[in-house]
Amino acid sequence: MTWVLEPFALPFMQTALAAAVLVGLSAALLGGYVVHRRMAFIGDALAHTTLPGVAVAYLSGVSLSVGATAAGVFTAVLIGWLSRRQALREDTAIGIVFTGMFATGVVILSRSGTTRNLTDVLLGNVLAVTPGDLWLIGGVTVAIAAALLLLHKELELASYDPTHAAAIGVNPDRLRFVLLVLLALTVVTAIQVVGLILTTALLVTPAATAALVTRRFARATAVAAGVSVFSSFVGLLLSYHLRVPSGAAIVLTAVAAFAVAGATRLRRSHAPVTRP
Amino acid sequence: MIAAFHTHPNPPLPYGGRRHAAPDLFAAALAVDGLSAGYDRRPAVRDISFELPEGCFAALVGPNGAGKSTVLKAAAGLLRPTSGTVRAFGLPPGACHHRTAYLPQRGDIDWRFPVTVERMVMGGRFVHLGWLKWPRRQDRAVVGRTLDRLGLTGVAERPIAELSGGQQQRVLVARAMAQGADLLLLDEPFNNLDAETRADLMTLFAELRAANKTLLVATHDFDRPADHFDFVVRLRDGCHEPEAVPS
Amino acid sequence: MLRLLWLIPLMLVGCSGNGAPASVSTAGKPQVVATFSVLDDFVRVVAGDKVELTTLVGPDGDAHTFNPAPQDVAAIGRAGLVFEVGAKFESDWFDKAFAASGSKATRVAVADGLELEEGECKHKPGEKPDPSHAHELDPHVWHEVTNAIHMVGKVRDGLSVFDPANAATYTANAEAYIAKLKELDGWIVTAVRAVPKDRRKLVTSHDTFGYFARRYGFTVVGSVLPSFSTETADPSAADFAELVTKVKAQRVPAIFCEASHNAKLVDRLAAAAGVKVPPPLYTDALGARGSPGETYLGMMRHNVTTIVDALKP
Repeated sequence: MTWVLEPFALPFMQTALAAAVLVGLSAALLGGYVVHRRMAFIGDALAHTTLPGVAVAYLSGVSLSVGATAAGVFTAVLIGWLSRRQALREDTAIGIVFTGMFATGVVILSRSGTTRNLTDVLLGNVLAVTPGDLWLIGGVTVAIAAALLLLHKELELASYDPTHAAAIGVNPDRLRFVLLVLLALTVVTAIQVVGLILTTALLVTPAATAALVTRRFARATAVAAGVSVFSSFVGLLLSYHLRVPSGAAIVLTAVAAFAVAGATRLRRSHAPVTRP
Repeated sequence: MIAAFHTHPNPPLPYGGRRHAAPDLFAAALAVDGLSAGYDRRPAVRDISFELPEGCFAALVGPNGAGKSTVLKAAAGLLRPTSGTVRAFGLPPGACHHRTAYLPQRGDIDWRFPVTVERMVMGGRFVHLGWLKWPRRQDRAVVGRTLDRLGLTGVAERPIAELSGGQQQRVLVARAMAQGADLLLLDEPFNNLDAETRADLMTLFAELRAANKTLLVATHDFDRPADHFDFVVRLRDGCHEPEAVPS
Repeated sequence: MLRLLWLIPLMLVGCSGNGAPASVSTAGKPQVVATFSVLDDFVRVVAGDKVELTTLVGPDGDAHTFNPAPQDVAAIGRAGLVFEVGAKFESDWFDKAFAASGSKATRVAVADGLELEEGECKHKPGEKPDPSHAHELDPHVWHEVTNAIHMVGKVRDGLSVFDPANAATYTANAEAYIAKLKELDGWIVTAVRAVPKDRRKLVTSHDTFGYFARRYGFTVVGSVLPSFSTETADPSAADFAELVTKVKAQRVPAIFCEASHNAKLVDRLAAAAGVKVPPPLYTDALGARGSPGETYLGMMRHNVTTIVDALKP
């Protein structure tokens, strides 16, 4: 048992665990919508667009989180505005915008003469999360939980039947907008823990695992949250003892959970049916 | 202005910030007059006029692109007319939200989203709840009764992804019933259904008629709609079909 | 949701166990941390087995771009004495790791007290050089053996203050080793005489040989990464072409790659300039066990032998 407890007796590991758990919760809460509304691509795009924000923030001495948040929210608003009233057909347009922004970020950062920030943004560095950052991360988690709790029935309806939603006076575009902004905030905090490249995995994998386990949206969200917290904890533990990057360890644990759920489901569906 | 706000007799509607208004007792269920409406400033329909009394079983027929969906959406309040008026029970669309139900084409709904039949039908009660409210026991009772009446109790806990086309259409009707709608606007309900399922649906619609519901059904699936419906509105290219020359 | 419940007792345990006294471990030996392998060598030589030493950046590791693992941060937290180079050799990762670990250790920067070389200032064209502008410092001090002697002295002094009981041992070990270093210095001065002055030109992967050049009469023509740190963007096409021209014009006989860094760009530079690339030099780290660069003495001998063999006519 000390194998489990020993790392988390260290203050910096506690901060890391708190960050990973909070981020995991945010990602899992939104994950259901990301998976079922097919927003994984947009999640990835939002992650990429934070880079120029980080670059400019670094060069102007402003907090990197602030820069990333500004860029992410700006892009969310832009995407929301560009694709209103339609199911996403702008894959190409969004693909061009976000890769363009990412490349701009790379150029800006290259002028700073160091590759350290790029590596941290791409791969995440949960050990670099300060207690100050924890406030932002925690705030985002609370905001998401509150928004989803308050808006859950309208969000659900607007997700599968936007026409009926509009007919009864619930504007699906505005709700989509809210979802995009929440997604941008989650992505910014997730980047700090698992890095830009793996952020989508954190958004999608726990929710996908939950979808294998239950068919109800509300229950799936709870399961996703559980898987996410579990992955954060075990992932950090493995990263400590096996000396592997923590972001990757967390994601791999989540993927393993998905594999287990998938295998269990496969076995059940192939089990022989006994007839009376 | 503020005094008027405080002493307004009508309570606000749950969504959309509009106010509930008492329907005009003698008005037609649906009255469309000189309606022109469309998307992106191009009118998809021009100068449409017709009136449906309460209890009428009407069809909106025409080939694809004739403008049937546009008329239904304008009647539902989803589209603002560029000219002309639409009145449901004497009121503009939306003033009496719950009395009108627009049933979208089945293709417009994401049936793979993980909700149960019961939850989808509960969506009809949202108009009565509004933001921040959770469904109450009486809402669950209404939904339960509605599912029963439509023979859907057996699939109440199933995800909507498992429904057949005919069941999907029934669920949409159930939702409109749970909403308490008196005017149902159905967009292509017979699409992709076999003859037997269609017949089942027509029986269901007959029951609704018997309960004094008004139905306007957009369809291109009938050779002789006049044989099945009380009233037929024919559209072609966004206008009323010119009178056919009797042969 | 039940899974969350068993986190609560863990959090409680975590909050109680905090900041144990760092100077003496349960085994009794003082806990010392060295940032990279050259310091590891010096501390082992001076302290022997009197301390429990943890080194962060191991053999062939790049200390400029190192990313400490949680166990490294934990080790820093447990340590009572920490040896680093300073002058930004460890970029800022060590400062951050030290802060995160909550360590109460004494930090000894072995480059303190040495006369450090300043880097060139890169001004934008048309901008006047600003005298108050702080210049980058070259941290690769150990390539000059007299500097290494100074570093060993700092190690000895740091250990003696921290663990006075064994001060005599530390002093004795240091003295013996410094004698060897002086011998090494003399050997190098003699060995490089085989290379005529006009061929004493050094081109490496990044700018590491400033002090070597200063002491032993070489010139640093340039480096592929025009920086004291590997933590920098790759050179632009224009910079690269300029370096090729320089290498050809100055008739540099060979260019050198480094064991702790990717040799790709050096190989391309060599191909473009038509010169050979000898075996790698040990610059920012010692070599693995069994390699010639396993110790500081071995590293310097290997480097000098390689350089002299490559550059002599």
